[in-house]
Amino acid sequence: MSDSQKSLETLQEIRLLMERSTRFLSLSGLSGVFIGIYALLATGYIGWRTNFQTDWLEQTIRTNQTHTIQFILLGTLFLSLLTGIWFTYKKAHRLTWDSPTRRLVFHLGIPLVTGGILCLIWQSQNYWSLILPSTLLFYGLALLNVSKYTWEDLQYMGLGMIAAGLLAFLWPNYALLCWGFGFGVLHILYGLSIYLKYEK
Amino acid sequence: MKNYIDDLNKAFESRVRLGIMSLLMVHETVDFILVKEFMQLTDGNIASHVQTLEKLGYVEVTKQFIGKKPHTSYRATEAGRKAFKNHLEALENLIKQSSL
Repeated sequence: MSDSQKSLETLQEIRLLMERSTRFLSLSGLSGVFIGIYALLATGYIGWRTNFQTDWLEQTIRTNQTHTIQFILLGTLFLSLLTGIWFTYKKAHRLTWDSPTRRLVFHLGIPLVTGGILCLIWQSQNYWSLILPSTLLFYGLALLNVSKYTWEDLQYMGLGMIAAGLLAFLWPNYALLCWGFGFGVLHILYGLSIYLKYEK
Repeated sequence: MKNYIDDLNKAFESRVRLGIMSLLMVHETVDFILVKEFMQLTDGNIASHVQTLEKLGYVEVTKQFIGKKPHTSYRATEAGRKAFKNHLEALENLIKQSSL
């Protein structure tokens, strides 16, 4: 092997090591599976409360159940965050506020917080139908954004969420179904694929 | 024609030292555990290679106790960063030279 070939290989090795070490790779696929299950349960529960009808949103507003649903969604979010942190801790045996973690939180957090604030604005102006599709859309954008700093596969889940979000805007009657598909099915599929690919 | 091989740093001939230095270039400080995880080396192996780098003045070692657990972390010195950059440049020059 020539010197230049050897040099090229060495440089590639260095690059790979630098890149791998700066990505946040302690995100466990199993947390995705659990988060997906919570989302499916939440979707099922909201569906059940509104008799599995396509006018679930009108029913919710008519019967003054918007707070219940809000509570369920926030509860799902909270539980999902805890699950994500817990599985990360289990996988890495520690929680560190190092630069990969900071980058993950920053690049995931900004689109998510933006979406959250927007949802609060929709709520204050009674645009209830825009809330679920917005959560999908902004979560998808957040995933796409953060995929550069963690598992690259995350971008496909992000694109899926964005598509589900746009469809939910297009067909408000099926927004809950899209939400269940995005947060439930996509999380489970993605979580399983990460788990089988990198953790088994 | 200049012989860039002479510019290569002997300290980085070892893959292990090269790897440790690569990690130190992108992180302010690197824990012992991280080096172990990424390089997949034994404890003694890491220690002896780090010692070589430390003797050359390329790496600073900090040992402290967090609770009862010893905690070792490494940091690249200014001289270390410069030496590593020069080494990378030499590698790049070798490639450029052969593709001319």
